[in-house]
Amino acid sequence: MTWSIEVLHRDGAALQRILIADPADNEPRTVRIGRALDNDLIVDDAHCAAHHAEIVISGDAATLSAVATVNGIIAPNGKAVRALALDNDKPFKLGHTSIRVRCDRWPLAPELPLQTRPVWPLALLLLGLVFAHESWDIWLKDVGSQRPEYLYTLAGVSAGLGAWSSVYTLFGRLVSGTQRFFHHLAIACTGFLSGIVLLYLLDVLAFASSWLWPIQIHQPVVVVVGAATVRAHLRLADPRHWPGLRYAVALVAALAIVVPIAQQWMSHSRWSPIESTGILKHPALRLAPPVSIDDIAKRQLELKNRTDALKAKQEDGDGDVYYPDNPG
Amino acid sequence: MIVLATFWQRVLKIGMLACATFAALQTNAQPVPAPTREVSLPAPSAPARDLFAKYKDRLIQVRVLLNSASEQSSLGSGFFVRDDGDKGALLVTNYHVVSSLAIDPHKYRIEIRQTSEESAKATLVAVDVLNDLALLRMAPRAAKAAPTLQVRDTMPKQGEKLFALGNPMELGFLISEGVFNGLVESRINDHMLFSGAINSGMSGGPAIDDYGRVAGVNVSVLRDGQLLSFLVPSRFVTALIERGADAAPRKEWRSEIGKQLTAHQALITAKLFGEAPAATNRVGDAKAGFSTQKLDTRDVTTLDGSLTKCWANANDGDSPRYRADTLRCSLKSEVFVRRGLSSGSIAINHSLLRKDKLATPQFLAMGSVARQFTGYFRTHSADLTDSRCGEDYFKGKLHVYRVTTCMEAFRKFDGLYRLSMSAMQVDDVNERILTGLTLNGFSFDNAQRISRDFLERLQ
Repeated sequence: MTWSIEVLHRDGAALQRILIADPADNEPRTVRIGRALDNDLIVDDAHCAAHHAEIVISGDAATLSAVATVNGIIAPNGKAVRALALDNDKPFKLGHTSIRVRCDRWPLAPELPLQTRPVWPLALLLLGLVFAHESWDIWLKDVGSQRPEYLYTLAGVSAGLGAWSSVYTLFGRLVSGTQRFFHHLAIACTGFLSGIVLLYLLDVLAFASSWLWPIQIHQPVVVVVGAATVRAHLRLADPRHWPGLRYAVALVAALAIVVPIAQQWMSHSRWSPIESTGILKHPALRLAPPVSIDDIAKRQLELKNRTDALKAKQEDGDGDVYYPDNPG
Repeated sequence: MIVLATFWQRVLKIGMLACATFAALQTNAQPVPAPTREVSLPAPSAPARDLFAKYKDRLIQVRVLLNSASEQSSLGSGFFVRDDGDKGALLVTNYHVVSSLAIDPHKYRIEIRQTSEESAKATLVAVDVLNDLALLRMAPRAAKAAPTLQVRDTMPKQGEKLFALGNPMELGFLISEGVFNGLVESRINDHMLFSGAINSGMSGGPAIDDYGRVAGVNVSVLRDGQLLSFLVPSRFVTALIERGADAAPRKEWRSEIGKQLTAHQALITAKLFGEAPAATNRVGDAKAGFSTQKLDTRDVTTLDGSLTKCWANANDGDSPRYRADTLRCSLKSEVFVRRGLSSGSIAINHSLLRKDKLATPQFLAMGSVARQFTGYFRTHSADLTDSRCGEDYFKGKLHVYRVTTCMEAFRKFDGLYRLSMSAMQVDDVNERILTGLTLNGFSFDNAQRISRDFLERLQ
């Protein structure tokens, strides 16, 4: 039986490794870890003690225990403990140093297949779809005597998506050493297109039904799609930190949804600034029947009551207040 | 355009010049030369000189001061009409000169100055918002009678010489000679047309005849006209004195202003539905009402009658690929309430959009953009609450529309609202009509009644 004790870089590579061959006499072996030079494994970490911990290997079991340390051992689950039974190769921490213990009896994870299918054709296809949508969008507005700036718009969109994907690519290269530009481009284009499709469907729904809420939820939908896109980028670029980052992304997304709503309520006493759709789709898409003139009268009454409530709430208050005349 | 001698005067002027230019462009009319800022006054004739010397001590400069700064917030002119001895003299000026005081009495006070540079305090005793008049009472002064002007009880004849007096732009009291040119026909309130110069700060000053009798009160000028000024006929002054001279003193005027505005919109509504009482003034016969008009092949509801002005324009300069014909009508009935707020106006806009050479998706995509053609926009004013809106599909006689209704309440006057309604046709991919109706300063019942009638006429 062979054991190895490794000090890991934060990207997972072993910086230092000591191998312990099976002791012939079956005597328990003790491996001492700390900053002092008389340890078996010397770590250069200011948050480690001179004699921080020791691993006792006996047969096919290994136990880690703290020796003379205030920081203790940080178990793989993140909790500080004084002793830890080692039965897998999940890294634990002493101070800021990650340490992994491996045993040749423990199962190894299977080999991961290399990604054989290239991603760039998909990424470029998606980019093509983005271009197609943008061109369509400008063409819809191409109704005046002056042609809109098709090329500038397309160049701007590609520059934006390219820059966005490059940032994640660079980030991924820095933290995990992999470079996956086309993956990130595909993710960015997918996020963009799914946002467009969702908003279009919401518009159609609003036109068909005469409901206002599909338009009012545009902003939260955009935020959710954006958060999902960022999630995909981060999981690809920095998979080891995603478990922690997910909370940050969720928090930012939640704030991006809640803050505008709360501000709208504080400033204008309503949840959404959108009170009319102004959208027009093909007449065949309209499903909601027209209302009667009495329904519109009821609508007016409802609006009157709402403005009256608003007036009572926003009263400037100086109508009945007595201010003494200025003696001047 | 009301002559406001205030800090905002320049801003207002630039705005009016811009409007004038816009109107000229809109109608493809001959370009009107931009009016000069200060209209030079003709040299006074001998009678003018004598009149000024004789009556200048009856003139007053009215200053509304902000209490907290003790500096002027607005300026105007005025004149003594009655001396009640110990109770103090009564003087007349424009409502718009003292509107800020009438609406926020604790923030402002009135100070008056005579030609002799003596100043005194004055209080507001009556307002006539519709005719833009206010009656003030000067604090009594010991043993000093106020010289008054006599108010004429007959209307001058067209062509009769009148002399406008006042203190424009704080340049000192002056006299401006001009000719009375009859009553203005297209307004709901009587206004006398005076072909003479009236400048900012002369508001509220008297326009007197050869005998020194007040024939009218300076009130406003047309900024894009040359010497087109307006006077309030003197009989409204007489009526105001009768009504207000012995009224109990009060500090709170909002309810009174609100009452007058409410009466005004009730009159407009009655006129619209042909229910107005017998005419009480000469142009009281002025007509207003809905009528149907052709916009290309479509029947649209517009305003009819002598109080209405309509303008039409097309997008012929902008784009030959589709057609947008626009018709805007408004009822000239609005009343100045305070800076930035008027009440009692109706506006109707129609735009007919034709697809012509556009593809169907392009024409449909213009739907949301096309509100610009109806003039359907709202500016936020501190005097109105936030708007509250709702949308419904509505079927007119022939077509289906998406009707957006928005409502705002007047914050300082109870029971008055602004209702804006826009209807966008949604059942045709080749042409569509966009219609807007704006009712500003109406009671809810009247706004509802007018808009219902409007919807019933929708084709």
